[in-house]
Amino acid sequence: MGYIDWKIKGPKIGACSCEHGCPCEFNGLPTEGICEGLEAQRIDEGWFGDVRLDGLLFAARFRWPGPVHEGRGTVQGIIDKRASEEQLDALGKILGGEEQEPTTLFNIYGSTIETELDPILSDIEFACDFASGTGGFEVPGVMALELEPIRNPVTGAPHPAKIVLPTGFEFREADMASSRFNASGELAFDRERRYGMLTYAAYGPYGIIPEESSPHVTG
Amino acid sequence: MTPWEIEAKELVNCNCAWGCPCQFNAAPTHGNCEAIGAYQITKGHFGGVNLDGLCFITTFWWPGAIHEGNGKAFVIVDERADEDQRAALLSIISGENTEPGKTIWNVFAATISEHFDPVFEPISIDIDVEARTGLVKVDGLIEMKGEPIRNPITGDEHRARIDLPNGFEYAIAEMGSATGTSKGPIKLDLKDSYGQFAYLHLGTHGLVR
Repeated sequence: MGYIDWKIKGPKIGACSCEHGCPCEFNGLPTEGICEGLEAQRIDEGWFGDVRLDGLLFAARFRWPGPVHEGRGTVQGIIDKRASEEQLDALGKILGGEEQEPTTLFNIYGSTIETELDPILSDIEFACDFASGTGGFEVPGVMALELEPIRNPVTGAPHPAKIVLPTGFEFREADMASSRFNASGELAFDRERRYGMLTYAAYGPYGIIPEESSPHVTG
Repeated sequence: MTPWEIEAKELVNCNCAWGCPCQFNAAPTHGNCEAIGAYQITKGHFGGVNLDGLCFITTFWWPGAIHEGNGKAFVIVDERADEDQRAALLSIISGENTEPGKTIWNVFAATISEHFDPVFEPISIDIDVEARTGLVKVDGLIEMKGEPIRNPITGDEHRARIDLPNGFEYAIAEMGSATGTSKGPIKLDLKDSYGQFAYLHLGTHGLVR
């Protein structure tokens, strides 16, 4: 069976409650036992069938009571309020794991979710600068993330580090950062100096598209 | 300073979780750091002394994060090394003849408060960086085994790499899982914890790029 043709591609940033470098990237256990955080992606180029998605933004906040793969997670999606009805429907299908293999990012994470809170339609302010290792996003009044370089604890010098996952389903290469983030409401949190990452990622029905993702493309 | 340079294969096992937070300047998983490092020099020299083919092993213990100091160090040097080679290796591992802060051993030296006398023993090291496998043995002192990380659900090998463009030990390290014991003056018992496989290229001025 074929899938409707779709692709979303652009810079992606995220953070979670783990230490810098997040052990989960290595199949280790989350630093504090639980996983909570947030992420956002800007679609530089995207479509779903005939519907163009260029320029739209989306974000999510999430919490799992243990390691992600043990499930029982809660997630809430945030979609750019500029999206038309058709675009909303398209993004809903992509992020919901429809029209794609069971092994895509959205289906793997989706399989660990027990509770999905009603999505929010909002403005999303987004920034991602690979050169300086900084970025962030804000859903006004709901959540905010700021990323800055990890620093050496003794000298204060920036500590550039990358995680490379040659067969990764979310990213193949990501720049590590130090995060500060908060969110209010049903999935509230407030953390600083935690795991942060910046990457450039393209996804389609068969998962990540490596040749259009970091390190081959960085915007 | 005596100029030196070594290319070596490395397997490190520490008590942190896979991916070791210390690689990202975060705190160690269990609050302190305990580590065994095994090195096989493929090519190296220290001034006019040839170091090709020699092996050494470092064992370290710190009560907290490495940069907080008060560590202990114990080194095992290949018994095949002659007197000049032994002195050369001990100089490198002690962080001497090195630009400050430019090699892992120079950085560590500032964090060590107790050095045990080195010993000279036959060392067996077999490391395959690409496959993320390794076996290390020093009779009566060290046993270490490295293997790939596995997916907790599928059991498949999980390949992951850390790149540190400004690193003082490696530029690229393959992540693995390792189990190791040390029965010397620093007693360690590490099980299925951080394993690091890398090709090192270090010298007087740090990483050779």
